[in-house]
Amino acid sequence: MDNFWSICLSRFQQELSAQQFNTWIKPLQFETHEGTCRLLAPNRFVLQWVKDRFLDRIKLIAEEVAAHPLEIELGVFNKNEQLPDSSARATLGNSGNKPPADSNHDTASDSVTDAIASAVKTAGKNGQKTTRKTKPEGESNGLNPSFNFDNFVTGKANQLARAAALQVAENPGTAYNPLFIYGGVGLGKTHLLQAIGNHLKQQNPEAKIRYLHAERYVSDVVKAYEHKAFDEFKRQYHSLDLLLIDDIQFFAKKSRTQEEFFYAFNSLIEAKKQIIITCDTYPKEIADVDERLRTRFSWGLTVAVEPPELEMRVAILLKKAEAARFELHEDVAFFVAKQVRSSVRELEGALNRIVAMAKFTGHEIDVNLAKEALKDLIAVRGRQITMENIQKTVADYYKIKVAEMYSKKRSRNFARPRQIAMALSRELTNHSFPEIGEAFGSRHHTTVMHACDEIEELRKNDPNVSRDIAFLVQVIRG
Amino acid sequence: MKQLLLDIQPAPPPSLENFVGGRNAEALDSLRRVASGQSELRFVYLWGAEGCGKTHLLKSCAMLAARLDLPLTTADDVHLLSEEAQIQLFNTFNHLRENPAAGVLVSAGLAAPMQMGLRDDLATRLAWGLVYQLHPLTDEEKACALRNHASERGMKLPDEVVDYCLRYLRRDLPTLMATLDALDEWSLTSKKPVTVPMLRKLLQLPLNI
Repeated sequence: MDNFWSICLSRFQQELSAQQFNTWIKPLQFETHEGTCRLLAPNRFVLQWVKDRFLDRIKLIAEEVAAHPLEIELGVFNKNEQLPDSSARATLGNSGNKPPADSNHDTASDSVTDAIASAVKTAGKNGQKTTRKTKPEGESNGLNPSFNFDNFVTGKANQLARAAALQVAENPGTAYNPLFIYGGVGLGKTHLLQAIGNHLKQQNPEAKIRYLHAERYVSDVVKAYEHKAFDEFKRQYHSLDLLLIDDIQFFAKKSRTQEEFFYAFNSLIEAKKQIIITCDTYPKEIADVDERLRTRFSWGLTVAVEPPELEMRVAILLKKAEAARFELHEDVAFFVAKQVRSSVRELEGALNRIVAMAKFTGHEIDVNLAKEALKDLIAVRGRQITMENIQKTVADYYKIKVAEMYSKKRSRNFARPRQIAMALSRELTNHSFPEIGEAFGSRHHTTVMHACDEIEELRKNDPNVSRDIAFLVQVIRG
Repeated sequence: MKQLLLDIQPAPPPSLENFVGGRNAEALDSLRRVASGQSELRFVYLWGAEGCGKTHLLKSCAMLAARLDLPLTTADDVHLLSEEAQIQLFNTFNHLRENPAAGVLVSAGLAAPMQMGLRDDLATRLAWGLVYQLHPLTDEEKACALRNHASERGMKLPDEVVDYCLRYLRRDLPTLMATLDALDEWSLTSKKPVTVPMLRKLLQLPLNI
């Protein structure tokens, strides 16, 4: 029966786009148990999607292969056991386009595949043990397998950096050394760094790779100091094949760290080991870092990552939505991409919020919902609303002097704007009636209460007044 | 003779349940999920004017997570963080992001992430997770919050006292709640029920509210 699933996989691979195939079909695990076939999806999203769109087709193929209709059960991996699986799939995803049923994996992914298999079969404790067994490797080198070149969205803004990164990943130590990637925050520098590491890891599982944030390097130096363990420190860093160091600007003013890094740098470059550095600015501009380091940083190739243009931001959103397995219409993606321009993190934050709102309200994701959700993320800090501010705005609007707000004059021309200002003070600030009375020429609080009632009444019945007030509220809120 | 009060009934601890949500229902729902480990998202940032409940919510989340034995980090008033403290929060953020088992981060500040003049690398990280603006309550919702607070203290609060508070006091919740606490304490010490005349007398005292 196993050949049924490999036939199924190859059919789908022909019929679907690579993206669809990789997202929905490839993650499925097939097993037979006492004559019934089971398909296990990594989560409910995939389960539902497969059930709605592909199950009929799967049954058809099964019928064709087995020459009689087959019962196919759908299920989800146990939640606790998803972790090893997802990391494993990222590894598998990189190992070419072979379907999972194929047995031609390299040994590393084989052991992970076994880990999944046992995790799926054994419940609870055993499964977790397996998770632990595969974990330390990932922890010590600092690599996160979910960052790779395939899920890095490329556009004009970063194509040069990506090309350089890929070339370095293919030919570490020989192409450009060091590779120095710089650019603003949240533009994907870390993603590129990690992708290089993961790529090399896949090409050469034996390679000694280390990804770390510059802050971590600083604290490692401090620890070496405390424990007088600089020999061990040197052994650790100088023996690497690939050093990926993020946000080097954090070395500013840390002279001992800079000194240690200088030695590590020289030793690695001499041994033709690859160094890749990211920074928020180009080498010459890094503040408070030794000249000798800065010149060394520009020895190899320096590339910039620019903020993404509109189309790229849209592509990023669509890719994120696909990864999170929900449908995002292009008009919504365009709307969000137009609103959020600066960093990819904010884009992702916007998307998170939209999804949370859709889930909470049960509404479909459309432009209106997106508009509502984005308010909190991009709204500027509301201007501090004070009574002086209200008095001035209202006086300006009705072309009277601000002094008339406190004067005793009772003609309609002054009294009405004054009443409006009082009502707005009640509505837009936390002040009490007596405090408002005080601010309007020491009037009694009942006068303020009367004004509020009267304006409330007018707002309901007089369209002019209600329009004026709506406009004033907008101006005052800024 | 003045009745001395044994402080056996401290103000009820902040919780997500005793927070009157008003327009913040979605934020509350998300916080509950994130703090109890039921969301894939592990970073929430709340912002809003003073007195809108940020600290209350942060404390509530911390307590909820502690009850469930889940790791949760909070960072309040991020707009006040010094350069070093910002780097520390930045490191915490990176650490949590790299280690899902290290738990979630709920933070709060006065304005939207990019509007506080924080380091860009930190601000974009705050904007990365879920961001909610906390909206102030309407007067009706404030009245409801006052009644809830009173009932949690086991205090009888007549409607006219609530009306009086909303009419004559500053209407930010910290002021209102502090008044209520003072009122409760006075009513217990003087063994008299809470009434509007008692509140008026209280307001004439030089209190720090």
